[in-house]
Amino acid sequence: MKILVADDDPQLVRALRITLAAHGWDVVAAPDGTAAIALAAKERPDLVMLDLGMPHLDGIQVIHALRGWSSVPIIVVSGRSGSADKVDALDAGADDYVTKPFQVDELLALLRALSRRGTAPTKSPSFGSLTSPSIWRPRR
Amino acid sequence: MYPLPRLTGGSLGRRRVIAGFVLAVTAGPLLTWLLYALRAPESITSDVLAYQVLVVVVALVGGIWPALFAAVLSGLTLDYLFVAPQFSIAISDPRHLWALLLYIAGALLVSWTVDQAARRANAAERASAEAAILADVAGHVLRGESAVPALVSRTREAFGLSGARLISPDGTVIATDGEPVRDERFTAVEVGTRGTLELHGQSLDATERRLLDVIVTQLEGALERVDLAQAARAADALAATDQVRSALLNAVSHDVRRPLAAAIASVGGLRSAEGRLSDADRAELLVTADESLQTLTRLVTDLLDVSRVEAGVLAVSLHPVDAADAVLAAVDELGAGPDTIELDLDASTLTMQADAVLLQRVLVNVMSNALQHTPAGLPIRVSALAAGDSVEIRVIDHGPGISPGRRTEMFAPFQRLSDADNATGLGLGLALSRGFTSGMGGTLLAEDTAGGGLTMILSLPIAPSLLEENS
Repeated sequence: MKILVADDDPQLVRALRITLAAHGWDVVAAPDGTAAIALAAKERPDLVMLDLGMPHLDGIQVIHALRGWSSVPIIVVSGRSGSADKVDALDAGADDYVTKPFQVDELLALLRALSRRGTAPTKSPSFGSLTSPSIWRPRR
Repeated sequence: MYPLPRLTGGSLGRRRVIAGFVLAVTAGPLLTWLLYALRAPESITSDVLAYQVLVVVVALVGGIWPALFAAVLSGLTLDYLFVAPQFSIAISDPRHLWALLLYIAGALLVSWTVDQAARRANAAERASAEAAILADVAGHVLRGESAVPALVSRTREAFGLSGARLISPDGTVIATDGEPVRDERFTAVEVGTRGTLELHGQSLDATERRLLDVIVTQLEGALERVDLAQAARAADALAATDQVRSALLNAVSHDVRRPLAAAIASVGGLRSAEGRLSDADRAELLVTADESLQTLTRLVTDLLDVSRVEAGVLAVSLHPVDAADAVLAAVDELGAGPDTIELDLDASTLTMQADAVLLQRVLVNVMSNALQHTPAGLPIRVSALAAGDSVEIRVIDHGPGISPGRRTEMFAPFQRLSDADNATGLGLGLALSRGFTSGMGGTLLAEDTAGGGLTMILSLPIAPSLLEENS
């Protein structure tokens, strides 16, 4: 399973890279929003972990961009704890929202849960149409 | 502002009354001698007119009492020397008696008129002086600049007192002027509920009391204004604190969460993947946790210091500190080499009055700020030299500089309020540097570097021992 970690904090990326790798994930990391989109297109990850406050491109914009061609599960990991931020991120197409700081065990469990639901086939970036996450994600 | 003319018992000043009497007793005999030498049987009319003129002149000079004195005296003289029978108070001709009585009545009327005129002039002068005092007093209250002490000294001057002071209800002296020595001529007036005005060295009459009441009302207004200004300042400070607090919450929540998240993720990784980690990975996670916690510690220290600076409770212990030592210690902490920081330190010893720990943090902050804004490969320059009675440490960079309009802003804390940029921090560095510097009695200013860039000038007082040696 491949996971894309997009966060501008190198320390957190370093910690997550080692921890997730130890738990069997194949980790690719992007330091900003633009790199995250490029890497998502290139690496086709099974899961995306996304920070909201990033240079160049905000996390919400990255979600919009990804949702334009991919239905990959996106989990937002952000220091923003306001209710409005969570609503915005989830409405934009994120699948879950975790507030920093987070417990590694909880994050791992969340990643397992999201990956259990199965990854829907992702379209090619060239299709360019907006796809709602509800199409691939079974309603609870 | 002039002292208020005093209303005396008579209409005229004591000096003028005395002058009137002196004139009456000197000019009277002189005139008598002259008229007696020139007297003729038909000269009685001109004699009477001459004395009349004397009485009018005396009345003009000294008012009613000297004029009355002159009139009676000249009447007796006329009767004794010029009216038959001569050398006797008795008057043979009843017409002469009538003329003498008319003369005295005329003299009285003239002197009374003169006296009235003088009284009115005096009253007018006093009224205008009072008006001037009131205008002055009101002006001070409206202008507000140190109105209270000014009012107290104006009151003392106006009433010609030796001393005046204003005492608050709890007994502290709010303002004082002259020599407030308590004696029997002591007046105390309540200024609303805000204090007591004590006047020393003169008891005040009813007219003066009325004027004093007006001044006291103004004084109360001025005191109230001072209280309101204080309340307004406090409210401003509270509003500013509120603003800072919400900005702090926004910015700090991100900046605290970031290293905290990395530290918790590292430690969580160590725990959750216990058996599956290589030694190298374990070490890297430990280093990450350690570095993140250090970042967090620095941040928390800075935040505490900002609140100390803003609350004005920064602990500063001033000692003589060698400028070169301080600069070198800061360069050392930054781990910078000669290719990144050029030093230009005065050959002679420069000792300044500073807190070594705070000074080092200021220098490290300012230098790292300069390094951050300088293109790689260009060194920054740090110089220390004596400037008057202070030591100036200049940190000169050739970066993009800062527009004059933003120079005040750059020293304000919590400038970055978004979480999109982790490189700049909360902007506490320069705010703290300025706070620390003013805490040490110095200044931290920014100006343009000639040829582009920013120069930060840290100015601290020269250590006192050094000043004494120099002078």
